[in-house]
Amino acid sequence: MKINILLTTTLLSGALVANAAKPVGEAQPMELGHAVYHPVLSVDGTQMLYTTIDHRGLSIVDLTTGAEREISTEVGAGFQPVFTPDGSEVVYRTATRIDGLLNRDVRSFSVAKATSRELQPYSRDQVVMEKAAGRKSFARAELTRIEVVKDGQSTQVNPLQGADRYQWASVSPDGQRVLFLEPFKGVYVCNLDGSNPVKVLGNRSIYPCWIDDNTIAAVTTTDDGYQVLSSQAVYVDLATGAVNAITSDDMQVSELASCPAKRMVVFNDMDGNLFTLSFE
Amino acid sequence: MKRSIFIIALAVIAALTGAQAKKMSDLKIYINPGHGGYTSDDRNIVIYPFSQGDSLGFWESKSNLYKGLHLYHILDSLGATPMLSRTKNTQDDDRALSSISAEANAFGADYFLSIHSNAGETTNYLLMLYREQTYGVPRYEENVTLSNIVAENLYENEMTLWTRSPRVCGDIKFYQDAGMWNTGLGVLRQLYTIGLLSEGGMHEHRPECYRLMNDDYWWLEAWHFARSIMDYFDTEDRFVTGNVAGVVWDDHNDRTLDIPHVSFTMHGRDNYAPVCGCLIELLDQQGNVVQKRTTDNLYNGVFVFRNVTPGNYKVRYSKDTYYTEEQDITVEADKVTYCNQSMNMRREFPLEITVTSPMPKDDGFTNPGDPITLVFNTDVDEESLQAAFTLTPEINGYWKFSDNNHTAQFIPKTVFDQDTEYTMVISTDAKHADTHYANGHLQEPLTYTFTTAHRGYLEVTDHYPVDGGYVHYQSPTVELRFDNSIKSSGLTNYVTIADSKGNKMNLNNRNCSYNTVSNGLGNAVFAVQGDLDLTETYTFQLTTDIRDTDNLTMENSLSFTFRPTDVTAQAELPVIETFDASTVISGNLDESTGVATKPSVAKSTSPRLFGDAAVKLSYSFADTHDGIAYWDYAAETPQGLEKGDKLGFYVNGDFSNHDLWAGVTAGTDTKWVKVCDLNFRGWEFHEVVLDELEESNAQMEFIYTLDRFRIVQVESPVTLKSSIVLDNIVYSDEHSGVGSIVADGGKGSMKVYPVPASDRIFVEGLEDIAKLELLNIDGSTVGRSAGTSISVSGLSTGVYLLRVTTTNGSQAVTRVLVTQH
Repeated sequence: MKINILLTTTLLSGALVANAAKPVGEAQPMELGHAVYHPVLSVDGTQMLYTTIDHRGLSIVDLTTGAEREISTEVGAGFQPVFTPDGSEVVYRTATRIDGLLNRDVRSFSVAKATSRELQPYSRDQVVMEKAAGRKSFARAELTRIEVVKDGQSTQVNPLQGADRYQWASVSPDGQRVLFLEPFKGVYVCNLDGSNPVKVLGNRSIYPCWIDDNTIAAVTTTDDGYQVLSSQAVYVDLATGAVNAITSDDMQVSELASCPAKRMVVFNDMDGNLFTLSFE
Repeated sequence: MKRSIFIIALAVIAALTGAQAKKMSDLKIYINPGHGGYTSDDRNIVIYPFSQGDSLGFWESKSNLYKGLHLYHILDSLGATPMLSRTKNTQDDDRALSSISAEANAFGADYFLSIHSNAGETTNYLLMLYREQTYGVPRYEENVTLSNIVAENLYENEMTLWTRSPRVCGDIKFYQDAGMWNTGLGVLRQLYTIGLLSEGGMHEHRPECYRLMNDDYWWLEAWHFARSIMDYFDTEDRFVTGNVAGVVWDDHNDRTLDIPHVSFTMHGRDNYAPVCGCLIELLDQQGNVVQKRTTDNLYNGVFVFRNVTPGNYKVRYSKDTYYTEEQDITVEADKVTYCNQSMNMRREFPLEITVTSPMPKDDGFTNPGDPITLVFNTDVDEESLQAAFTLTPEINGYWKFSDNNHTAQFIPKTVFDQDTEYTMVISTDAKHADTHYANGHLQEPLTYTFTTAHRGYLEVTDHYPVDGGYVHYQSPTVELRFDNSIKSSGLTNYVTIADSKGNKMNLNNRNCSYNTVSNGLGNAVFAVQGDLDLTETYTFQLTTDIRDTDNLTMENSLSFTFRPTDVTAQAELPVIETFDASTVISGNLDESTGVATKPSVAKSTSPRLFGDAAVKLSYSFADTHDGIAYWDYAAETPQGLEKGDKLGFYVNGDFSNHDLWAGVTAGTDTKWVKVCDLNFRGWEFHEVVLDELEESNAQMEFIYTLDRFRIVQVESPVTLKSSIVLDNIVYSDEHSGVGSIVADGGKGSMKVYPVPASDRIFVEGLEDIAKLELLNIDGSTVGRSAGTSISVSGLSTGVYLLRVTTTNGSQAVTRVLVTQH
């Protein structure tokens, strides 16, 4: 299936500029011809994973050719899959019910061979997906701590005193800072050791991710407890704290992901329409 | 429209769950207490003594949290691994919905439960919402199964009063059908585990709201959640203890005993005052107090003894101002033993009459139509009061008592004689209802005298049409009601009906009738010869020359205007009954109450509105009150009616003011819908929306058919015996009811917006709107407007009917949704 990606010629421009990134034009639709949810970009930004609204199934699309391939149709396969650093494989989990209980396996999909192999059979265990994908440096949120792994060395940090739990932790492209959500306090950036946490967005901001070392993106949302009332993609200049809208009020953004290497974000709306925006 | 009717009970198939016996310690349960904080979307309900915005009052966010915390601790104590989306109730705890579902997914939850309660002031029922993939298609079949299991568990709660059985529905279908939004529930949207959102009763229903202030009540709902988890996963672990739960209430005093300004909806025992500060003790077989509770001061009377070892016990209820009560009970493991208890207040004082009416008016006379009303200091014993009461001169009447028996009314079957002095005596035999107290009698007899007004003129008490009203244009009739029988000889000479140009209409003397109402009252029905001109306005005039049987004349002449209309505007809708054959309907004496004779049926060729014939339903009530006449109706083919369908009835009214109802049945479930007040004469079209029907679900299919009618007598001495005529019944399955509907005989298309509305509803696309009326689902008018918009800001969240009347009398009715945040 052909993909229309506009503005790709500007994706790498400004990559060495120290100032916060700024969007190049407006977000552009990516026509896949079907609904896309929960996008995940490869490290180099040439591939994208996507799934359905409830994470059933997983597909991969080559953003340079537009070629799509279905990886799995199973339940849960699209929940937080991880690319290997070189983008050659995708590690993901599928879910099934064994004796009524939720079990998940771990699988690896080879992009080149287009085949999946089992890394771990169905179990009730929690799995560190980044490790399974061979990543040496990453951050991940645990309930009351954040695990920061740098060059294979793991440390546990707790940036916010009295924090109840953490979500969506990630390391900056330069490997010096950690971005995370504490869902009762807000989105923060701190040092690798958890020191100097700085609040950059309120607690109703989700899917925080790095655009570059000085810029992050997220989705700010409001609801009435039953339905989402508004949901807007924003980016934040970490130096100034300025919050800027990526999308207008009349669009409800569902999820958002980024590729710092290409300074680009992708996001989809509630109906699964996909958009991309480059920064410089 | 489906052409079949059946109810199929589907067994809950354990295989659907894929579950086999397992331990609670195997389970990971994600608990989401809905909302968070104290802002506008956290559902603050104002209940006495709390003011708006008081965090100590009712907030759904708070109630949900405490249920969730209790569930967490119950599950934790059983060895399960629960996780809560929040543990506090501040604004910071109002998390993004996607953050919650992402956390549940990452947690690897076996089961996701979002805990809520629902809006809805007049009703109280359970609503379980599971995630759908698309409209009507569950994401997982297990979601339906577990939702039913939760509903069954919560429905066991006997401390509350459910107004209907639980509703289990997919989230997309539910909100889409309600005209609210199309994406279902945000918190379920991204889940890949199974789960549901539980609306555990109606917090806007004030008696339930008071219960939802009680920690025991929260705990028991949480316990039921935990047991539903055991049921669903078929765990080896079950509760080895049981619970004892109940409410205590004063069945002789209504809620005004404690709460001022009670103006909310109550059902059954909720009408009575809960007993606050009541000590409830659980005693074992040796008389030892095992547990004790004191009901709180928040007007709910709720108590629960938690985790009681199975066995036989006695429950003792005591409060110093009440007589102590006791119940023997048996507690079983894994069950709740309910022991609701009414309390009997000590009334160790005599009966007193605090208010008596009719009160003399300024001129010393009272209205002959007023009843005698007595207000007591406590609940009066009905039998003793009736025996102690004498009235001179004697008059036929009957007694009505308020729910709490604090007020008694003697209602004359007709009216008191005019210009007459009456003397009422209540002897000291009257007593209050405390049978434990020997001196509860009235201490002194009450003697009370009143004089009714002098009658100097014949008076018109009512007429149809009303001034400025409408009548169907074909062969119309005009009826006048009088306060006495009239002399009919030469009466038509005093009457004129003329159009705006002064052209007089001839009367059809053969079809005019006089003094056909009951109890010595008078009426006159004037039949117009031929049809009226739909473009004209007519004036009715009656001179003062008319005389009653006492030879009194009217003090002033009578004049009013009316306009013709064509009620057949809705005839283009599908007709499901023509009544060309009257045999499809028959009177039902067995079900009728208070009737003098069996309700009857006759073919009616005049009046009729369509086809060859209509059907005349005749009734005769035995007395002035409490009668109901029933008819059975057997349609040639079942209509297959479903929730939200509409039925339209062409009714020729008798101006009796009684109520016409239609009954629809699915299996053993019959729902009655009010068609109209019979407060009109001649033909009218009335549409009803079948919103209160049960919805088909996985266990039961509810397909209804119209199969009965009834006329419910409204207390009145005027019309004991009369008849109405029914012609075509039409059907519409335009469920949304919002958007374009045709009114005014197809001359215009009407748009009603916004959907939902919270402040004001606007009507467009229809010329000559005379008035807008909002009715609640019971048919009571809750708002009126003479313009093209109507305020809904004071209404509770819910579905209402908007009735639009044009200046030519055409009417259109549509459903509107009101939501208040």
